[in-house]
Amino acid sequence: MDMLEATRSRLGGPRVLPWRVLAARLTVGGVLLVAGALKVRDPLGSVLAVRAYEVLPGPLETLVGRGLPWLEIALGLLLILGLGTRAMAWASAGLLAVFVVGIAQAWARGLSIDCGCFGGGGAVDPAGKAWRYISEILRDLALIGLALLVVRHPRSRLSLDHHLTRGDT
Amino acid sequence: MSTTKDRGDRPEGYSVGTSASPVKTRSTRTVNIAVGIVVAVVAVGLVVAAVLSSGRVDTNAKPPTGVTALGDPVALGSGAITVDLWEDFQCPACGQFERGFPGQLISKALDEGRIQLRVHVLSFLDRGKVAESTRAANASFCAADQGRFKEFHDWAYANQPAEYSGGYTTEILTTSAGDIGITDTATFSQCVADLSYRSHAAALNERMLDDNVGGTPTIRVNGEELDLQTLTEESLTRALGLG
Repeated sequence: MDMLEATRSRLGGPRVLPWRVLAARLTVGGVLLVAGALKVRDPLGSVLAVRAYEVLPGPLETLVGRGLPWLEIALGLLLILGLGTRAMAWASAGLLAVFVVGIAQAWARGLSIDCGCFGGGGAVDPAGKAWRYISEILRDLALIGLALLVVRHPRSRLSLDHHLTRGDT
Repeated sequence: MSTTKDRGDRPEGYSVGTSASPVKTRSTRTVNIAVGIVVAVVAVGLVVAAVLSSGRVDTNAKPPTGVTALGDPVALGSGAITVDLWEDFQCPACGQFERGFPGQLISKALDEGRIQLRVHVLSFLDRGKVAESTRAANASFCAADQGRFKEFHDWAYANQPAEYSGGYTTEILTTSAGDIGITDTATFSQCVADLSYRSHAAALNERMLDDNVGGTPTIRVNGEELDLQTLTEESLTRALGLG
């Protein structure tokens, strides 16, 4: 049994795995969609949330603050629909990795900010700071794990990819 | 069900056979479509965000009495030291700031004529809706029309509801009139209910980005930002010319 098969059987074999991958797709996609949708009506708040991280030059903060919610919505929707699944899962994992780095650097530099993950954001009361940063990072790492599962096993149930390429196999 | 055993691990685009096989071609196409959709959504989103950001300001709207232009702060006093303050009535940290020693020292410096206080009232905690931050900001400008801005400001922080609780209702804001010495209560109530200074509030939010303000509260004394993490009663006393 090679590595791939070992992984496959641990994850439930060829019958169950596509359903698990579907669940991973819907979880990562759903979280991104909700996170984006909550921020999209409030571009100013998003720009301020980005600004609070203190990593980007001014003009880029505006661009990222305004564009990021839409990127999350697009990636989330496509993951849910299962179109370009593998590429979208890669992109989501990459985006989440950027969030982890952003949160970690804010923590390391002693900034007291709300991650702005689901809207809001900006500077906050320093109380309970460590736990907030840890929980945000753990949540993002868990989502990265799920996204990477989809990268590794992009074929899943109920995907547009499957429908569009079904006739070929 | 001949396809059942094929479902599983094989990544799309990673097909058996030559690169010209239909699977490769079609799955490459799905990736292209997906990437195209992402690019299009973000592009449209940037336009929508730009419109949302600027569309809330009606440039024909007027600022409150005593304020020259839309987006300008309310200026109080005429002391030699200029103090700029960016606050949102809903922000808990602003409440702590105002109810603690900074608020008391600033009021004292203002009363003693040491400072000119320029209050930039922000309303960015509404999550894109018209909610309590905007309502409270608007009410402060209604109070400014009757020379009662500082009184409203202090009343609001003394009675600050929890963030996002919806506490600054039109009714509650209207009842502040009695506490802050508003004489023309009918005009004040109308102004609060109509959100007459909504555009001015939106203009202040936009100006904050230009002023490079990263959060609330932000205090600058003669243009220099004070670090709130290290601010002490002694250092602020000195900065405000009281020491």
